Order: sequence, then structure tokens, then C-alpha cells
Amino acid sequence: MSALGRIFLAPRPIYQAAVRLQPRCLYNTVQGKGDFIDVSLKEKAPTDRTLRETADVYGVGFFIAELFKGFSIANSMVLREQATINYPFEKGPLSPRFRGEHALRRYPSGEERCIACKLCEAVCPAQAITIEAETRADGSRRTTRYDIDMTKCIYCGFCQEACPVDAIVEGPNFEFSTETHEELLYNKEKLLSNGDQWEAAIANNLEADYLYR
Amino acid sequence: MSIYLQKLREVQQLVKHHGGLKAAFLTLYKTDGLKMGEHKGTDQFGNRYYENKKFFIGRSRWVEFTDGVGVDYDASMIPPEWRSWLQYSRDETPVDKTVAPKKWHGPHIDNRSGMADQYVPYSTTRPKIQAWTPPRQ
Amino acid sequence: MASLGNLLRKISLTGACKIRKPRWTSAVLAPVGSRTASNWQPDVKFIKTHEGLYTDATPEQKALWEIPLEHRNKQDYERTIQNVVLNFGPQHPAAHGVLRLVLHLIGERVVRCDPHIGLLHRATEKLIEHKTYMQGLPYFDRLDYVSMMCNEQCYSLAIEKLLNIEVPLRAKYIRVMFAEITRILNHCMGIGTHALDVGAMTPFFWLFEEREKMMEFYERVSGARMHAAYIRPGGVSQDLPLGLMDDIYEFISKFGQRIDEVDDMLTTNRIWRHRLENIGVISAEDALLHGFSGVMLRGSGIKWDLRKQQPYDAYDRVEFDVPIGTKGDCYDRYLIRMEEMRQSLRIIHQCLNDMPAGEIKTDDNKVCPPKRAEMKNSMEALIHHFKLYTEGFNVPPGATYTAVEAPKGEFGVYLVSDGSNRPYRCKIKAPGFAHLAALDHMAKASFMADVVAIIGTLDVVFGEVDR
Repeated sequence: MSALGRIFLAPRPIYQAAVRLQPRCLYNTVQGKGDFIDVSLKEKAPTDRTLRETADVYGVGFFIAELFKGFSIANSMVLREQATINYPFEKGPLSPRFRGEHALRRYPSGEERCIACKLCEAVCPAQAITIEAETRADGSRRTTRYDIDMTKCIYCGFCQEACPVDAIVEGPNFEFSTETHEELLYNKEKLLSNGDQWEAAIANNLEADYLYR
Repeated sequence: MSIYLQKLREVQQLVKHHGGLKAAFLTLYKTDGLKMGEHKGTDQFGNRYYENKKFFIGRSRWVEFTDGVGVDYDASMIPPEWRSWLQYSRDETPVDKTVAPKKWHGPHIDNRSGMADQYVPYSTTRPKIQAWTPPRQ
Repeated sequence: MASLGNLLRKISLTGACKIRKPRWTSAVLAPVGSRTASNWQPDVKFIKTHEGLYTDATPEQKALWEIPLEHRNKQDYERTIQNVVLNFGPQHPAAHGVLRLVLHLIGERVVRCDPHIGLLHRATEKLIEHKTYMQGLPYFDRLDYVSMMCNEQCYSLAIEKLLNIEVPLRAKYIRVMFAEITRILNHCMGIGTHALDVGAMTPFFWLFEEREKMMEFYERVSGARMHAAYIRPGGVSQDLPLGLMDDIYEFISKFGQRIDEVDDMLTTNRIWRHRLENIGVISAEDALLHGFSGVMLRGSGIKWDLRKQQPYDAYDRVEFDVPIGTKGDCYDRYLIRMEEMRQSLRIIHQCLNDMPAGEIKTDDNKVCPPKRAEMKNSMEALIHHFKLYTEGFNVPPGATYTAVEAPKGEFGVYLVSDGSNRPYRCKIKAPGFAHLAALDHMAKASFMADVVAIIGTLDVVFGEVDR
């Protein structure tokens, strides 16, 4: 008789049910006052269990109830709205501060903004910008070379922060992948034409964001 | 029971919206999805833009590329004004709020990598080393 | 005397034994018991067999070569035996980055576990020495590349300590809020990949969708989804855009249910518990001796959290609990990470409620660049802008070790400044380094599948281990 009792009361770590915390607030957690709380599993010894708890433990163990619960949660995801976006047709939301492909901007009159102050070249952490400057024919200070090596660039946005005339900006384009490495070594013409193309979007973004900068 | 009938009716509406069963299958083949929404505008290339606020942000605005491209669509074919709207950076479409383009604005070109007119880097400065012809005797 | 007896026996009248001429074999030449018995020297007969073209063995020699019957199957001749050496290689889905783990196994049990690191070494500390303080900031994003803003926070705090400046309160609250968002980001990644390695694939996808939502917050505030370069010395770079706090509130009000879903899936699951309980056990004493920090320490019951012990930013103004475990096994650490996510939600909620109005950068323009509107109007602001973006700010000479409670443990920066605009030395103390070093201690005599579970619970990311 006592042997039978010992079989039933032997500790079985597999089948013991965990104590579930009661939900209290949006985080469903124990609300202490800034203490160190012990979250490890507190299991009652088999001799301390009430009859109801013993029945629970053996019921859950026999009917693999917690596995069914997890399984049903996974299955419920099938019936929920899926989070997948159909990419080229739908795009994920982007903020006006997004840092994408670089562009060189112009003034409304068409004059290019960049005055070859070289602040962007100095601040670039990856030294991706190369500038050479000369006096233009009409006497103004402009660049002759403005290269950005898009493969060295880390898209940190320091150049656009540094530029005092908002010439170099990081536009919202991120779809400029290429098949060869050389196409990613942008020169001044490419950057300017980027700017001409994307000015509508860049101007939108600047208008939305200039008050924060 | 009525929910199933409702779903059936939605499918019927979708098929009718896309112009028949064959056209609906063609759209499904090209775009991996059949959706119905309010037509917000068309851009200069012929891409059509739709919105349906019943879907969550991310799926509520979409584009159908122009018929000429077939299955060779590319995400870079969307011009910048519409892109701001499509990517939820702005709520006004270019139809609602047009900005007169400056004369130096260029046309929108999609990503030409891999094609004949791809960008090739070149130096924009004068050559610094210039050959000289030796003086004749 | 004995030899005389032998001789007498030989010549006895019974004639039973005859005197035989002894055979001059090697056994006779080197009789048993003699000193040279174990050294066989070639005898005349042996040399004769090697004289001709073929050194064929004599039949007597061939008889010696035959394996005696009792040894025929045991084969205990001299050979080298070695355990299986397996390369849990750099390209492995469960190696959490580039980890070359050389495992010495007996069957399935690990005898020795030898991590070879350095495959992601990018010379970060050396490169930082050649860059100004502002240019060095993106390096910190890329160290522990799943918890970006915590690393930036550590670097910024170190510089602020040397500069001896105080950051405005709003900036502190923003930093705390984003540090806790980063903590949730990291634990989503940690638990997701740990579950994936152990075999549960679904929580990985659910948690990564949550990461996408948080990266949207990163992008709205800084412009980049991952490497934000947002938390700068002197505060933060730009203010929160309008509408962000509402969206963060909506996110945290629903995130509790996501944690509950993962919780229901994993915590009471008998398979999960079997795989994680009593695996990777480390005692509190050993944890301290091996240099652990963060969740690894708290799993063994040590009450240590830098946010409580040495509060930085606004951590002394928000109320939160710190979970600890008792057994020091993988399961306790998993429970701690789940609870830490919930406590982070609590902290973010408090930050949203208490966010003060005010500046987000110090107004000392020798350290922080002025606003663009000012820069375009005022000469002094323009000069400050120019100096800061070319030369950078000069930090007074000194040395500091500043540590924060990064999600993985104690992330510290030992910054030595010589008074110029570049750090003289920037040593990075990464928690993953010490944790990985104790892998051998924790994985002794466990199964190979347990090694995978232990690597997952150590939560190592090779960006910071290799730097």
C-alpha cells in the first residue's frame, strides 16, 4: 500500500503545471515597487498539492493540454489578418526623415546649391565623399568633382545635417540597386540628375521636417 | 450563414471590378492579389493608384502598373510625387495638391541598371596630367 | 653449485637425458632474465635474409607475425584514438552570427567546446581613434547590431561624463524610452532566435513582426530603421515627430498580448521545458567569477541591475521591477527575458505619461550643433556649426569607464581623452565576450543539442564579441 503511494507521489518534473499570473494591466506582470522579483517557476512538492491540483497536473499531463493550447494559438493566426505587404505594388510606410539615395539640389531658379564648402566631406565617417572645387567661369565658387561612393557610404545622414545650404540631401529613394559595382560610384552629374528627378519628393519631405531640424 | 454569402458577394464584386473572370485571373497572376479600392489617380506613365482604408496601413494604398510593362514591373517605375503618397509620407495625392514643376525638373527615369543606358561613372574634372609633344628639332 | 648438479645429472648412469648440443637461437644468445632480453639485435640468419634482392621473411619470422588468437579481435595494438572533432562552423543557422565552435564530442556528449571568434572583427576601436567623436557614433550602432540605441547611449554618456555636461530632462526621457524600446527589440530577437534554434519556429515570425513595428518607430524618429545615430553626446539629434507618442502607446497597449501569445506557446510547453530546464546551469559564484552581467547574473539569483545600482538618464524617475531567477538554467533566463519585456512596457508607459516639454539637446553650442534656422541667420551659430562638423568638439583630458544595462548585459566604454577632438583610446567592454568565454564551462558533458540551446540563451551577437 505504501509502495503504491510512493509511486504516485514521486516527483515528476515533466507534468507539473506552472502557476499562472493573474492579468492586472496592459503588461500582465507583477507590479512591485521597484524591487527584484523572482520569476522562476515555483512548483509545489507532490506532497503539498491538494486533490484538485493533483487532478489538474495529471489531466494536463495525460491530455497534453498545454501543447494543444499552443497549437490552437498558432492555428488562430491562420484566421487573422496577415501582416504581409505585397511589395512592388504596396510599400511600407516611410517617414519624411528617411535616409535613402543621395541627391544634389538646386535653387528654384535652377542654380545648383552646392558651394563646395566641403563640410560634408569633412564629416563623412566613411570618407565616401570626394570634392574638388574651382572658380566657375562666372566667378562663383562651385565644385568640379563631387563624388559619393555609395558603397562606402553608411547612410548616416551627417552630410545632410552638415550642409549649410541644403545642397546634399538623402532622398526617399531606396530602390537603386545595381548589377555592377561601378554604377554605385556616383559622380556629380548623376547626383544632380537625381536631384532633378526626385525634387518633388525631397521638397515634400523637407517641408514636413524642417521645423524639427 | 450570412457571412459566407457576404464573402461570396465580395468575390463577385471583385471579379466584376477587375473586368470579368479572365481579367481577374490575369491580375491575380501579375499582382498576387485581388483588391478593390477607390481610384485616386493616374500618373504620366499610366500607373493607376488605388486606396481602400479598410486594410491596415501598409496595405491600404497600392499601385497597378501600366499595361505596357506586363510582368516586367519594377518598384522604381513610380514617380516621386506619387511615391510620397504611396509610402504614407503624405496624405494628399498629387491630384489633390499639384505643385507646378520648375523648368529644371527632370523626367522620372526608373532604375536603368543592367540595361544599355545604365549609368557609367566618369570623372567630371579636367585631366590633371596632360601629355606634351616634344619640341621638334 | 647448480651448474655442477646439472652436469652430474647429464652424465648420470641412467642415460635418460643425453647431452644435446644447444641450438644457438637468439633465445639462447640472450636468455630470459638477461638485461638485453628485450632488445633484439639482428643475428646472422636475419642478416642473411636481407642480403639478396628480396627480403623475404623466413617462415619462422612469418609465424611471429601472426596475431595470436586471444588478441585477434581486440586489436590493441598501438594506435591513436581521438574524440570526434566537429566544426560547428561559421556558416550555421544556429551559430548566431559568425561563430566557429570546435566541438570535441564523445558520441553526442560534448567533451570540450572551443569558440573561435574574430570572424567579424572590423578594427572598430582602432578606427575610432582616428575619427572625431561625432564620426565615431555610427560605429556604436554597429557593435551590438540588434540593440542599437543602447550602445549609442553608453557612448554618449561616457562623453558627457568627460565633458561634464548635463542633458535636458526631455532628452533623458526620450533616451530612456528608446532604450526600453531597444530592450524589447533585443529580447524579441533573442527569444525568437533561441526558440528557432531549439525548434519552435512560429514565435520567431511573430516576434519579428513586432520588431518591424518598432523599427518603424526608429525610422520615424531618426530616419533609419536600424542604425539610427540618434542618441548623441548632448542629448538626441532631433525631436520626436508629432504623432509618434500616440503610435507608441498604441503599440505597447497591444504588445502585452503578443508576449502572452509567445508565453502560452512556450512557457508551460513540456517540450520547451525539457529542452531548457537544468541546461546550461551556472551557479552564482561561477557567474561572478566568469565576468557575467545582466540577465546571465540575474538568472542565478544575483540582484544586480545597473539601472537600479547606478541610475543614469531618467531611470531613477521611473518605477520598474527587475526579474531574477534562482536556478541559473536556460529556462530561468528565458522567463527573466519575458518578464523584462513586460517591465519595459511599463517603463515606456511611464515615459509617455511623464514626457516633459523642453529642449532635446544641450544649448551649449560648443558641443551640440545649433538648429538650422539659427545657423542660417546668426554668424556665431554658423561658426559653431562649421567648427563642430569639421573639427568636432574638444573633450577635456581624462578617462572614464561608463557602463549601461544593455539588454545583453553590461555594455561599457572605457574612453580616454587627451584633450583633442579625437578619442585617444576607446575600449569597448562587450557583455557577449565574457558570456561566450564561459560556454565551455556551461556546456561540459551536455548533449550537442544543448549546446545550441546554451548559445541561444547566452544571447551573443558577434558584432560586439568581435568588434
